[in-house]
Amino acid sequence: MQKPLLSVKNIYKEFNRRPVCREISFDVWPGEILGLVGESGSGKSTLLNIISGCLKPESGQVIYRGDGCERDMHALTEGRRRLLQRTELGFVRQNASEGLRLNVSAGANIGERLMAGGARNFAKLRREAENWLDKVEIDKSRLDDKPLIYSGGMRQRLQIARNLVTSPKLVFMDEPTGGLDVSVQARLLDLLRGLVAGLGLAVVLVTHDLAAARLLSERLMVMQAGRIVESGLTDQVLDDPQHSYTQLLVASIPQF
Amino acid sequence: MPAAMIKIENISKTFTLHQQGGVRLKALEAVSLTVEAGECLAVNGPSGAGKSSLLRCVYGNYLTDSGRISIVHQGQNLEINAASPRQIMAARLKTMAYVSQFLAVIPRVSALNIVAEPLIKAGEDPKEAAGQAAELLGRLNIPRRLWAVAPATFSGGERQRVNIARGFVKLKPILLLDEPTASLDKANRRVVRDLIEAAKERGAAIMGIFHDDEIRNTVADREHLLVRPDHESEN
Repeated sequence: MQKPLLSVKNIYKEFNRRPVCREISFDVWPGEILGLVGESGSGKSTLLNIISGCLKPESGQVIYRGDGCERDMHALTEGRRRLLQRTELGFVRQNASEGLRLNVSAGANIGERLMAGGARNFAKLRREAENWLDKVEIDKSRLDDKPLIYSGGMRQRLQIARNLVTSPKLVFMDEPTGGLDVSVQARLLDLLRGLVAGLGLAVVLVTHDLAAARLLSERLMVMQAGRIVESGLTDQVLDDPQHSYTQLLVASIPQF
Repeated sequence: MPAAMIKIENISKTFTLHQQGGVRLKALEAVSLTVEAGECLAVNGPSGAGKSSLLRCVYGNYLTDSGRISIVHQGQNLEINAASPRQIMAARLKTMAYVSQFLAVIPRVSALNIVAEPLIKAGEDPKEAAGQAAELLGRLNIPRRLWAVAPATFSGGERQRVNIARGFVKLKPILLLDEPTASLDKANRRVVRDLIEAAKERGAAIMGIFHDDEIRNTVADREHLLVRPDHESEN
């Protein structure tokens, strides 16, 4: 019987005594894309930081079952958690400058995680980096350029390559298409869709773009004021929303 | 006695519109029916009677308020109204196909790949899947030069045919058809009719909404008439 890759159990988190995540429990299954939608300030990014091990909750557990053994992400030592984050997990940030080193070459950005995992053969690293630039549709001639001079869309694609190069099992994405123009968004979404299907990795995708959620995720959770107010199959939640907040979200999209 | 592939018992469905003062709209009231393997049931009724809602409830796209919908999935009964999202995903992968009037276009994905996807997802070899998809697109008279194009620029009829091909390419035991021939010409309606007949012969249980009398009269074995429920709810 298949087990969830990640089990989030009863998370509570507050900032300055103000609760930002309350009573949050859910599972992420191997190979699935789980969407998380909600307005700004609803606690989506905080939750993503908690379940990826970047931020400690006041209470609750985040159980990761990558290689058969169960680990509570927040009970691990700092070193072990870092290792897990560099090898089995990935994190694509909305702001590429948080997810990339803008001042080192694209190739070095991609190679970094491989080197952290012990790879040292320069020629091999370079080939792998070229290979990944190709997969994310960036011309190989840009390998030695710094992402500082990349466009927004290219930076996001480079971030994806940097994360996927170590074949992680679970990738967290925080508004990966935020701030990009629509045509660039569509390209990125389609690219993600293809890569995820091909690699069989699981993704937790935070977005406020319901069209992106519908296109990419099979299951969807809706967050409001720190709570998950509704969850289910993505098409069911969007076509037959039950909670008044989800109905408001869905009704706010123009229908053509 | 033949096995019922779809069994609907006394289901009701109401939409509560929280953003509009909590108005309650009844879509379905106390609907019961069964569909057996190898038969096609036509769902009839005036506009607003809940025909599409009923199909969507079976597919797990709409939730039901009460009653029971069970289907046979991999030899076992699955209660759609009580199933987890993952169970419904599994049932859609192996057991149920839903063909709507509209094609959800994915940017940059070619018509051929859209059609081949259900096969690939079910584990078929991609090359084999592409071959079957091509054959079906050809049968539905989609010109070969369009196969590699994303259907965003296709005509309504072309899109619908891509959608039909996607629904029929992997023959699943349950087919839900929401006006599959709405914008097709006569020749293509015939192709769809033949596809439905062939699916029945291979034992598929089909529930369909057909506005076209000719298609309905040829493919449907039985009809189920839905009446428009009272839109005013008691509460």
